[in-house]
Amino acid sequence: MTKGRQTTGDQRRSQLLRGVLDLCLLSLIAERPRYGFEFAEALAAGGLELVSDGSIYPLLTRMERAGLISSYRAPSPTGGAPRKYYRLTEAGQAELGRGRADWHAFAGPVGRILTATTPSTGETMP
Amino acid sequence: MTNAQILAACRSNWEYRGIDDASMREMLDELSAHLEDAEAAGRTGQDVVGHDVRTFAAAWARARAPLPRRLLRMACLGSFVLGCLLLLACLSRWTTETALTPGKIAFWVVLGVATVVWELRRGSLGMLRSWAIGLCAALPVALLTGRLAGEAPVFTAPLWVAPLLLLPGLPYAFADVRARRNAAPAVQA
Repeated sequence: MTKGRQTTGDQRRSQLLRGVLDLCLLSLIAERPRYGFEFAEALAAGGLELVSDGSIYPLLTRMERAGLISSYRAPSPTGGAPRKYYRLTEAGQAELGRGRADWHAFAGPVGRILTATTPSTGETMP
Repeated sequence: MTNAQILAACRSNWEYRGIDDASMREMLDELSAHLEDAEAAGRTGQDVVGHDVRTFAAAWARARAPLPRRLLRMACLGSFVLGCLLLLACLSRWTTETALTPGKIAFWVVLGVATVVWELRRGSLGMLRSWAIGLCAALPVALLTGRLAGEAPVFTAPLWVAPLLLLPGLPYAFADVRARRNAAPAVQA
């Protein structure tokens, strides 16, 4: 029973994350250009643990194809091989603005509903 | 899986999923750097690609290039390989046509399938090992098919079919060779 509840919780968390991961990535890139591993680190630092770090790559690739971000290669600050950095385009900036507005418009009412309602005891009122 | 095995499995998956050579190198470089960084941070390759490396590779390939483009590339390169085989078969016997028996067809089909399935799961083993595994699977099947279906040719492929088969894959093959040449100096630098 507990395991079933945990699985449902994981699935919900995974679906919620899937819906907002692109916005989180755009937001992180808006701060400064980043490369793959830096996204995973920043998301984890922000409290969003991914099922696998690599799940950001298909998303980054789709956003690059859509023209929301662009990439360039530059030396890594830690040394080693050059890294592929992603930066925001003008279209990406606009998309981030729209996405933020959508998120606030969605998260606000959901938050109010979830916090304002009181749990029922299950007894029906006449 | 070690990082090298993950990279090998991804390389094979992307090759067989129709990702062009230049894109594949770029993706491998990016993944390799991530795996190195993750390892330095005490994380495993599985933390990066998840439980199933093929699912990870497939998701990235789908995002990288649309399916119709990848299918077209695979069809053209598949035709190119068939053209090479036909050309070699004709040249090695110095004839203008090759008779394809059930045994020969079974041999090449099983060899191809065994190689592709193995490489999708474990990555490329290199030419010699890959051929050894393919031959182990294909030879018994070819002998059995020859026994059961006989040695009568199913059809005869004339030499002039070879250039027709080679033609669609030539632009892709040239582009891949050029990408490899361009990548080599960058690696040396």
